[in-house]
Amino acid sequence: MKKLISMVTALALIGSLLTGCQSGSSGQSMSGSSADSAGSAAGNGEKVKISFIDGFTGGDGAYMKKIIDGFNASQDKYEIDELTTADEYVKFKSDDFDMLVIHSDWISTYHGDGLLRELSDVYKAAGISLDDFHSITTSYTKYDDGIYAVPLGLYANTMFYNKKLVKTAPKTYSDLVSLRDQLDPEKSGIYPMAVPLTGDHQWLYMTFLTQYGVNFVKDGHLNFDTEEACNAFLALNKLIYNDRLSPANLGANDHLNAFMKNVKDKTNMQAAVALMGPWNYTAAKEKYGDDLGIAAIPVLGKELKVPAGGHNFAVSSKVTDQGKLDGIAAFFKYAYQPEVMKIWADAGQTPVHLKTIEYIKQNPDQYPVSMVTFDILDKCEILPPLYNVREQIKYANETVYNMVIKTPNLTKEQLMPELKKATESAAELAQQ
Amino acid sequence: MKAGKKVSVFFILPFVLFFILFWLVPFFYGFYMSLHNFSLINGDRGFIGVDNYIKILFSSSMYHSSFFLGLKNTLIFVALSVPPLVLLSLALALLVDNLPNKVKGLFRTIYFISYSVSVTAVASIFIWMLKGNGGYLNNLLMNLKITAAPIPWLESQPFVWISLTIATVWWTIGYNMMLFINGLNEIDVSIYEASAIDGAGFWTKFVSITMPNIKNIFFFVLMTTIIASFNVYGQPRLMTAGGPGQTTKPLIMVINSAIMDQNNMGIGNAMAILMGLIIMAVSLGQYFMTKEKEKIRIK
Amino acid sequence: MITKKIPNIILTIIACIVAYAFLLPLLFMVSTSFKGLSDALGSSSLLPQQVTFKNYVDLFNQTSSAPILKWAFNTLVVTVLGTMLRLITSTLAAYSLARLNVPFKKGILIGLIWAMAIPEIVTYFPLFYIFKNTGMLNTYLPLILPSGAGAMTVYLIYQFMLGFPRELEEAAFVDGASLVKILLRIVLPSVKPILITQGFIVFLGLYNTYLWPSLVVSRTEMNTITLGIASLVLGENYVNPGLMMAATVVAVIPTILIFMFLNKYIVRGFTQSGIK
Repeated sequence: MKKLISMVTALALIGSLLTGCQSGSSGQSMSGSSADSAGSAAGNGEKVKISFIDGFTGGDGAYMKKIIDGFNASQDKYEIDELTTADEYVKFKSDDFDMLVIHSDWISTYHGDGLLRELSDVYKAAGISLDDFHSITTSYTKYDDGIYAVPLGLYANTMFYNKKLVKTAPKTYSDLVSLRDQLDPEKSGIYPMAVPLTGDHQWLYMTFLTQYGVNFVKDGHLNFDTEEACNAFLALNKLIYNDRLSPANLGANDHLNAFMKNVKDKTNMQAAVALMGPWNYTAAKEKYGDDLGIAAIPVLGKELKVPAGGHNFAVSSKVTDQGKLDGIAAFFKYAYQPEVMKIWADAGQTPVHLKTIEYIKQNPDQYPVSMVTFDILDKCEILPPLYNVREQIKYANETVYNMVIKTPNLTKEQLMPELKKATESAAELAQQ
Repeated sequence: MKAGKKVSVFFILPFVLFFILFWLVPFFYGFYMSLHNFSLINGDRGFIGVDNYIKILFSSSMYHSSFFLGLKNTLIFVALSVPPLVLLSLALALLVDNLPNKVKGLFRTIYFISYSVSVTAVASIFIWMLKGNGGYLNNLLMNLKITAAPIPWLESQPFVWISLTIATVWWTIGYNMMLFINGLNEIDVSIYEASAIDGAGFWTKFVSITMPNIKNIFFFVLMTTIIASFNVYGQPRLMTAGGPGQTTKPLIMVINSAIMDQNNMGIGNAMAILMGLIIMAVSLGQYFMTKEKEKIRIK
Repeated sequence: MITKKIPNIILTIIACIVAYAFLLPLLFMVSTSFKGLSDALGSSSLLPQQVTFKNYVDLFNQTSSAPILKWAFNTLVVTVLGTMLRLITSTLAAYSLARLNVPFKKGILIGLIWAMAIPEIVTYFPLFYIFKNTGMLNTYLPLILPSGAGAMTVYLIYQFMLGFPRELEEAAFVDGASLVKILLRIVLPSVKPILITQGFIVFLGLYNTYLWPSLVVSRTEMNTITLGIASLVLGENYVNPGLMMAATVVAVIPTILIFMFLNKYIVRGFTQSGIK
């Protein structure tokens, strides 16, 4: 292998001579990924560059950028180079990034794979501690061998509704049924809600699973192969095909698209309510202004439970350069000031930094989404920290969910074999 | 010619170097990985013989079901896309060939132009044209009262396969057409003229003169199209993300996911090699079908 | 010229209808890019009700997330250098094989045929892993260098050369012309047709390839046009078809123009190619 690498490198040199004009920019990005050169660059009065990757391709991306830009402008020693991509985790693995935004349910997997760096020293240098955050965060940031992430915020499945069509926010399933009668979808083309093909769909069926009190974890893997889980999925099927609360056969992100749309000539279908992630808040607000209603999701099952997730900052285990670590600590010091962190609430997200929470609560009108989320924090259901849980759940997300929303009058006999497959696949992925 | 051996080696050396570094080494390295428990993150975790292959081909593992699901989807795509890509492109070529000379060039360019659009742009155009709720085509069909309800072009089968096929045909048919036009041009006009005097009809002429003369091109187009369709990735990745419910997830997406999502380089490379073997078997079919004409020339 | 019975006018009308089907997606792309949000989402007329340039203004205002001109530049660098590299290595190798009695000729030819039969997907992931471990991701190198190893191109040029009489070259050799001179003055002009066709095919291949660059590029500023559009398609904030189409127009129009400009050469390349 060594010989090969040196040969490839030699060829690379030939290549970069051959390609003269481009060597400038490629050389730059090559040295950007090497810790040594970045460290020594600081000595020359150049900025230490910290590469940072996140997956905020929705409306929240602009707000993360605002925080990063604010930090870059606030000092001249460090520069955070942000990349926002839909393939965040793939790119983080295949390339070298110093810092990333990681979901709460994915930290345990990356911790297990040795991809993350222990952060106690960075916490200290930044002048923050776990006590500065809401207690729910310790369940996924703290491990036997230390702290592996800095909590950024929580986000929960949230109900947005069009006040022109909905007088009072629906609180239960039967509220949605009466809303249907009032809207008369067959004639108007306006439905109470829209069940999308993809996009927040994991939350939709998780709402049914958690609200029906289904235990879907067994032996360190997801387990959908139970009668209770099956009934919860069937309830979602019934929502479309029995109770007609949503049109059938919608497409990707149509829970949002249908909500944002105005029906003119019945060629389109509109939804009065959208159950969706708070990152769509900015788009919805832009469209509806004061007519946008925000509330906790209704009870579709037995009791109120709200599927939720969290964002966190984490640092790659490959980062050893002290200059970079100092820069990252400086960033945390900057970001965890209530006046800065509130930007994250502007995005419709809910910060978990206690001082920021206080700050937000003083201006409840400005942060309607966060205020709704604060009320249901104890009802939040984050995906359990199982190894590979985001891979484990894929079969349910793709095949099971599709069957549930596409098959009119689905039966238990049809669904159970797929739930068994979803469970087997989850069990296998939990073991690697 | 008596050029020195050194000179000849010097001429072939750049290619051989590139070939070794960027083809031979990764090829054997991939084979090596397929025999190991090899993780994208943690590297080589030991030799396990043909376990990866057994897991893919004969076990109850999820890799077994996902591989065969991907293979099935890929074969469906090949079966759907190859006939129009070959037959319609031939029809297009015949159409262009019979047009008056003045407009020939114009239409040839129009039919070929979509080939210069990249696959990702093709996907983005067709997503918004075909979207079930609010897409252009459905708006049009419903306003013209052709359909009462929107057609789920990108949401439900079998429409999703139709959409992927249409997008692919639109994108690549021009290339095949150019090859056929080239073949038709080489047929001697006097043969047609002779048969016109005999009063032969279109079909007779097509079967007895045109087809025999473009047989080799026909097989070439057929095989390259089959292989290209086998390698389908961009259209389903971007237009459907493999959905609905994994029904359009092709083999390459399965391999990509095994490696980039599940970190399993060993399984992923074993899958890629199996896929390579299947494509090679198809290529071999071409060799036997055309062997009387096309002898591989090694002098 | 298979038939004379169908009048030209009917054929031309059929050709026009087919042409409309081919142009419709492109017309849709251009016209949607000039539509406002509600117009683009709800209307069934191809032409915008009210022409707006807002999408283009928005597009060029967000150059940090979608630097389309940088993507175009990257695409130019990768396709041009990749094609040149392929043609240079292939022509030299083919000449060596066809004329110069290179050692192990038979073995090399058999190797080429094997390599042609094995699809690229087999080498993609190991090659990606090698580039990753040598720290070369997000440079032009992994996008360009693998082009140097085109077995198919070598083989096709080699076959084309075999079809050419070698007397001219031999005469020049006897006259004392150097090998370089023979290569440039005699061989290159005679293989020009296949170089044009192969160059065009390689160029389009590099321009269109999506899987490989998606593996080796992760930084926005290193995207090719093909990759950049993919990142827009996959990004969730593109719920606005007008904006999406504006980006696609900007990415697609230059290549269509180049294509139309070079049309004559491309067609000639096809008719003179070795594929028969």
